[in-house]
Amino acid sequence: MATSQPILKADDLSMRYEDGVLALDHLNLDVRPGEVYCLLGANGAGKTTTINLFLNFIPPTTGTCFINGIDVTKDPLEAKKYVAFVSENVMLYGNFTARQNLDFFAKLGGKTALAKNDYYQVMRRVSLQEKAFDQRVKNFSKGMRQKLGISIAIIKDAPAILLDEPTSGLDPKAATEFLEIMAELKNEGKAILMSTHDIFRAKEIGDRVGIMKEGRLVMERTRQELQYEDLVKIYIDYMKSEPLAIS
Amino acid sequence: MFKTIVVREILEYLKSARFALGLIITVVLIAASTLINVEDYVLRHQDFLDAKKELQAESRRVNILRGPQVLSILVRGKDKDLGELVRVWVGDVPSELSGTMDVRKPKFPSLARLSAVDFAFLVRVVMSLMVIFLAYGAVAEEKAGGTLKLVLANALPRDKLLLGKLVSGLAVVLGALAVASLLAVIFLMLHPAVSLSGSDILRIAGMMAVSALYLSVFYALGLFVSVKVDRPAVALMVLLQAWVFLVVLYPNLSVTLAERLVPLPSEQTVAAEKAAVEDRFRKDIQEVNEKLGQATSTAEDRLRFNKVWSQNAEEIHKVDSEFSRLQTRQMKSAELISSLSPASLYDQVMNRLARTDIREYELFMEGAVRLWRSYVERLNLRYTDPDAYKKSQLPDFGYASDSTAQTIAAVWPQALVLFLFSLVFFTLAYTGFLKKDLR
Amino acid sequence: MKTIIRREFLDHVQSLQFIVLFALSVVLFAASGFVYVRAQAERDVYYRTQMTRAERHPSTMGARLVRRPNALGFMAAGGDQDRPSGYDIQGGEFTPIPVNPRTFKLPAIPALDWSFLIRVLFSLYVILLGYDAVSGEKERGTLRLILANPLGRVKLLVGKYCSIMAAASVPFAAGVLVSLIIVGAFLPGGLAAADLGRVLFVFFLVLAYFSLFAFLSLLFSSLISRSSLVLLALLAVWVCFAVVIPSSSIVIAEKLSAAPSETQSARMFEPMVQKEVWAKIGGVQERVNRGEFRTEDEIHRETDRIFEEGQAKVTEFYANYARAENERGRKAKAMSRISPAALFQYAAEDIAGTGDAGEENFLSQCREYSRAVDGFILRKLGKVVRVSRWSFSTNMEFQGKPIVVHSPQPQNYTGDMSDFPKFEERRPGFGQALKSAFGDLAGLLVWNILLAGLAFSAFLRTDVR
Repeated sequence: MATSQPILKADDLSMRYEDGVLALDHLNLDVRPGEVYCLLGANGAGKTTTINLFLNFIPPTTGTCFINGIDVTKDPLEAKKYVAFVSENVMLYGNFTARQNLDFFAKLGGKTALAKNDYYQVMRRVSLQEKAFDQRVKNFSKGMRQKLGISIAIIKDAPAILLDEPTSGLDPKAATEFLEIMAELKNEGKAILMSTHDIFRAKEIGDRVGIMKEGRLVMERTRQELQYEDLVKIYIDYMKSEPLAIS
Repeated sequence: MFKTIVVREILEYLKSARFALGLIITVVLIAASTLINVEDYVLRHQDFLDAKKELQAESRRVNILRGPQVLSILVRGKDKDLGELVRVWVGDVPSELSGTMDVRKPKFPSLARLSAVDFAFLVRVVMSLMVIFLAYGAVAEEKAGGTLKLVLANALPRDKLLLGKLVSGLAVVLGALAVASLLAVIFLMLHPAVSLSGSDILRIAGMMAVSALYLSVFYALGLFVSVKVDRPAVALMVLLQAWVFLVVLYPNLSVTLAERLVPLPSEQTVAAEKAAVEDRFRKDIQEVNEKLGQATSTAEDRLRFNKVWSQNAEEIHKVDSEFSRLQTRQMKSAELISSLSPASLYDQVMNRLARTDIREYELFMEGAVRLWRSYVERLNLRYTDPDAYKKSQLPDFGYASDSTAQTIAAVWPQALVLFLFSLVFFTLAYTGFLKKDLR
Repeated sequence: MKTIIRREFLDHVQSLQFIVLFALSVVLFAASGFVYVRAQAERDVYYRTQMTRAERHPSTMGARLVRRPNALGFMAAGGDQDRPSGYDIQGGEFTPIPVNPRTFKLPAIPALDWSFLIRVLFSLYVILLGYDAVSGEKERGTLRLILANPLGRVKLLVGKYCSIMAAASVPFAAGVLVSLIIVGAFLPGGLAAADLGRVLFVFFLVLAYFSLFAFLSLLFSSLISRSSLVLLALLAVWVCFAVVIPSSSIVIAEKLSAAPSETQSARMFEPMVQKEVWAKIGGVQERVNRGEFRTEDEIHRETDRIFEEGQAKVTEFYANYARAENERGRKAKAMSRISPAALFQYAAEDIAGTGDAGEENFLSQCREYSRAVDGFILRKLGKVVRVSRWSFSTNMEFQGKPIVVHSPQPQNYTGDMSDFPKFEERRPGFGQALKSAFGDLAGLLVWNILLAGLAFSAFLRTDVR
């Protein structure tokens, strides 16, 4: 159900850090509504940097990020209204309950008029156990925290969602549940950009898959193309090949 | 959104174990120390009243007693260590350095130079540490835990977030201070034997204000270090070392430095000067002593006795005053040098507000000297105009202590510097946070 | 185990923390050394002038005994700056030479001696070295890695302990070296070989103190899994030991000595006795009139006796009071010994010869000397008279003639003074110093053993999952 205008757009994005490392090299990508874009790559390939740039945590050396057509460096506050973020491995606020965490982030996201039941609904949607709703987060397992993180993103109801390594460390059951939610959100029309190592899940959920190597997007395939090509083989081939020439 | 941040942060503090622990410790210590200090004051005050009665009965001599300051319950200062009794007689101008008014020999030299546990000490040492324990993780722990990114992935400007942290932190810290202060003040006011004047109450309010300023400095410092240092444990370490330096080491060093920069003349020099004075008067003194010892002494002889002795006393007093002035200069240098330490500034202000510092003592002694001069005048009158003498009365001892307004005029620079410290640290935290790399 | 020690030691040594402390240590020890040397030079000058004067002009009217400045005060000043620099003795009465009031206007600060630096700075540093020894490794996940080797928990803990001690001792040793160089070079008279022996002992005493904190840190680190909480707990304990307990013991000490109020009883007692004496002297006139006395001498002897009786009462009163005060002071000091910081301080003072033990020692030598002087006076003059704060002089009638009766005065002997006793201050030997420090040293040892035992049992049982 993709319409024409991409909600997330990276335009010739480059990032060179102070110590000289070139983390991103002229990256171009876009994510449309109702589309899941999976960004694959080894550690240090630039996936997290891309997400950091979208969220204006660091300014790009050259190029621009757009969220819903808004330049992220020019008007970050406006841009952030249209994106939700799911971080990898987040501890959240341990002394507060799941609901209290959700309430806090919902308010930050602009949803100030929600009721307790709204929170419970969202948490049920992500298959978080009922008894955990009012339990302190510090006792949660990784899977539970991950679900809570996703519910935080869902409740913001933003058109775009950024996820940084969402399935790392999840057991197969939790990972499957996660994919189901992603599919639902996609069908609701959200533009989803997900960075991951997980080739298999990427293949399952991604409408498009991009492979990053040393800061460059070296390959992009759509779902149809991947029916005929072995993503695993492509990925490993790229990983094994010579380092790209320094530009 | 700002309110959301502030509310959550405050709740976070209130739920944390270290806040509860810190608050309990503070409350217990303040309660215990205030109770003990109140009792101590009451005893000293009673002693003072009893002594006054006794000495009034002993009408032959004129004696001046220095009673304890009521606010020494909160800030012990020098009040307890300095002398209490001045005996007035014609041959000796009351001096800060004279035997009875001198610093009393400490009873337990091994323990003597440890600070007394009073309200000021507890704020200066214990509460400032507590504030550091609260503040070190303000930003660092959020970064380490990953929630900083989550929060900033929203339409919330960074400066609002930091301001929210400052406001919530200060609210918690000042709230704890308010609880502690209230406790101390209640104990003060409830005790039947402690009476506080309006000025005293104003001064107590001033003490609470400067305590709030002082603790804010440490919160701002904690916030700053928390912004700059990513790992919370390292932030805490840095803050602790800063604390040890600012609260313990630097004040100590600055006193030592002041002693070197403004050296005092040696005992021998002062003694020699006094001996020179006594040499000049020796013959005359011998003469008047002899005349007075004889059965045939006249009123004139007695008058001359007074005059010679009082002149001798005034000359010696000049030597004492000069030395005293130098001591004060040394003290002021120490105060100036130690101004880099918020703890020293805090101490100076608290002591001045409580009237337990040297200034109060100096005012008292000036009053004593004035009384001595009236005493000598009146004594001479006895022999020059006996009728007038019979009609006259020795004025009561009194001295004008600084009013609250004057005290505030004296301490506002230090209070201002404390405020500037907070401002500087917060500004550093602010600029640091705006530029902070959140990766 | 050597591998463990080496790795940990290098880890500590390469941190910014260590460099800062090293620099700070050198600076502070140097400052402490210079300040001490300056002050000591002044004390030394005072001592020499006073004692040479005393030697040149011995007199039966009184003697001034000034305590020889202790060369080792830089290790532990022991509150000596607040003690009398000596005593004026006369007729068995001791008047302390007033404490120099020079700087009563300055804030009273603890002396910047080794003891202060150790208790305030270095003990904190040991905590900072050790707090994450176990909990940090758990958090990083390296503890399991290490224990998956044929090393054993005991050896691991011993290795960690050794590395903490080594890392803490380096800046301390540097500071000590700087301090000794300055003191040795600039102190009038320098340091004797015997002194160096004591310095070495104190060095090891400090290591024992570090050791205590090392074990404490390892204990807490094994018990609590979050490093930041470990640090908080250790700091609470440190504040307690270094600050709260010693300060509280003053408060308690003052409470114990609150009654009877000193000035009150003094004010009342002395005049009371004076009145009594006056009354009795007045009574003597009556007895003279009744014809009780045959010679003037007898009258004088009687008034002298009455006067001296009164004197003795007052002296006894003050002596009792002083004794009670000392008792209370001792109790307070004993109470403060709950804190190992106090144990360390007192032990260091005893070894250095400063503090209460040092003063007590000097006082007893003064008493000995006083007895010798009194003996001399007795031989040459037949009678020892004590000068009093109050005196009296009055006329009486005896057998029709007026005579003057007055309080006894000491006599100035002008004859052969060649055998007048000389005061030679003996410094307590090292054995004696150890004896007085024994309790505190034992206490430190007990703390060490206790904490070591607890640390080991905690670590052996700690959950490594």
